Amino acid sequence: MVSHPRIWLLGRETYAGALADMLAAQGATVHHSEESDATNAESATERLERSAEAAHAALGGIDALVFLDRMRQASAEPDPDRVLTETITASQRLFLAVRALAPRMAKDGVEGNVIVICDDAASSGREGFLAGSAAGGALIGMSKCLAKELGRYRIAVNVLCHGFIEGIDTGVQLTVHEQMLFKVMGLARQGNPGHLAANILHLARGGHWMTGQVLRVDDGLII
Amino acid sequence: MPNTDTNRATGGSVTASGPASLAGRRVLIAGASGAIGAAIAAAVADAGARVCLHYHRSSGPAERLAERINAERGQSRAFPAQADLTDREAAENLFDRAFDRLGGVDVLINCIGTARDDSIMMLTERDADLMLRGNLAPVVYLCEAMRRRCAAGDYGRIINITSITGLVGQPMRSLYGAAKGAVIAYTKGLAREIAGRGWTANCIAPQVLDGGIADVMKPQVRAAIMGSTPIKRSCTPNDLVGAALFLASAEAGFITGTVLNVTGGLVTW
Repeated sequence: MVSHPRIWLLGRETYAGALADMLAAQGATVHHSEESDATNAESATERLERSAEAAHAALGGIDALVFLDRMRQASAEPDPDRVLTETITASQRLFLAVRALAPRMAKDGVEGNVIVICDDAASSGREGFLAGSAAGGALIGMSKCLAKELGRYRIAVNVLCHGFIEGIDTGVQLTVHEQMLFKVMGLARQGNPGHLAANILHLARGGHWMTGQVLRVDDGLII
Repeated sequence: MPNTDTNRATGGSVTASGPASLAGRRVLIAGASGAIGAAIAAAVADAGARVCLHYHRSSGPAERLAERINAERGQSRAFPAQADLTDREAAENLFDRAFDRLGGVDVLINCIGTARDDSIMMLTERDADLMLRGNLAPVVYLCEAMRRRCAAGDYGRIINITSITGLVGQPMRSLYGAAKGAVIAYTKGLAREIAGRGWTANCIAPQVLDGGIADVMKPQVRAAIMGSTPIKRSCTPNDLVGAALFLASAEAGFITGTVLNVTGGLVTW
């Protein structure tokens, strides 16, 4: 178990900065890669390899990758092309990041952690949010495969699916059932990045003996 | 008494038990020239449906299957149709052709699957694009074509064949796992969106398949999987037939957004 994990935080979402600050405040050392847009001069492979190298150099080694899936907006209009491109992009980002990271972790001999953060819709599907659902579902499917593939290198791969988090605005509307959960049972309240940080740190510190799991951080939105 | 026909296309037996629960239904099967698609196509035809048999590259199996179905039924029950379903326009055109010739589409069954197995260290950006596009594009394009073309209130069943890999993961299959995981989550979201039409959308997740990945696995890996499967054999295409017929039937009208796990007990969670 690592008391002060070195975390490579990958993602440019609006809540990422707050998340990085919270992780640091609780003892982690964080290198935040905001991911620039792809350019013709550099492939996604090269870009993520460069980010991994920079993070590794800045931290002196990486104990955990925290991968933030992109925030997406809900839409009532079916858009199959968007479903496809978002899913491909999300899958490429994760697979290239892990591909850049895994050899470094193995070489350093750390018991590493990959922590994928995505929306609850990844595990349950959501009306009006097919792109987010499919992209998140891809991340879950890939993470379970990676957990089985990287276990021999002592790299754990887990997914945190979040509910409604302050700073993560996807425009989804509460369903009638979800409104009932909130009003009658006091569940499915809005969380904040601190709730994510607490769970991320638990995984980043290691010693948890979990891999290939999908944990829901959603105040009971899905039980 | 169940009818048992020998499925010459797959070498197995197909049994339609009970009354023909798909009598008069109009079914589009994407990937009908593959082992799973062919087995399901023969079964839905035996169950009374008329079938459009999609294929991409190999016309022979789809054409022979159509000939067999039509010869056995003594009428025009099935016809082949070619399309590259990774192209949106081609996919929509295929759906329209099926719709126009059948007079509608009641059931869409997506049996498309393509795999590129390797260590994450050997896979490339291009592999990711091909795998995701090859497995997911047919599903989303055809599902949206059905939503566009078919009226709410009409009979509607969507069945997407996913994989145990999308459910629980397998090593060396990270991109395939991503693609099939995406199919699962997309289907769940779609199920919520189309429920108001009276339609259902579900997935079937088979285990390693005879005639597919099981045949190219390392013997010790295959043995380990068989040893861990309570029903000690690999999955055959015919094992999926019952699940597909049921989910396509009127009896499954209150089942939606689920993944029916056909894994011989390998996955019990």
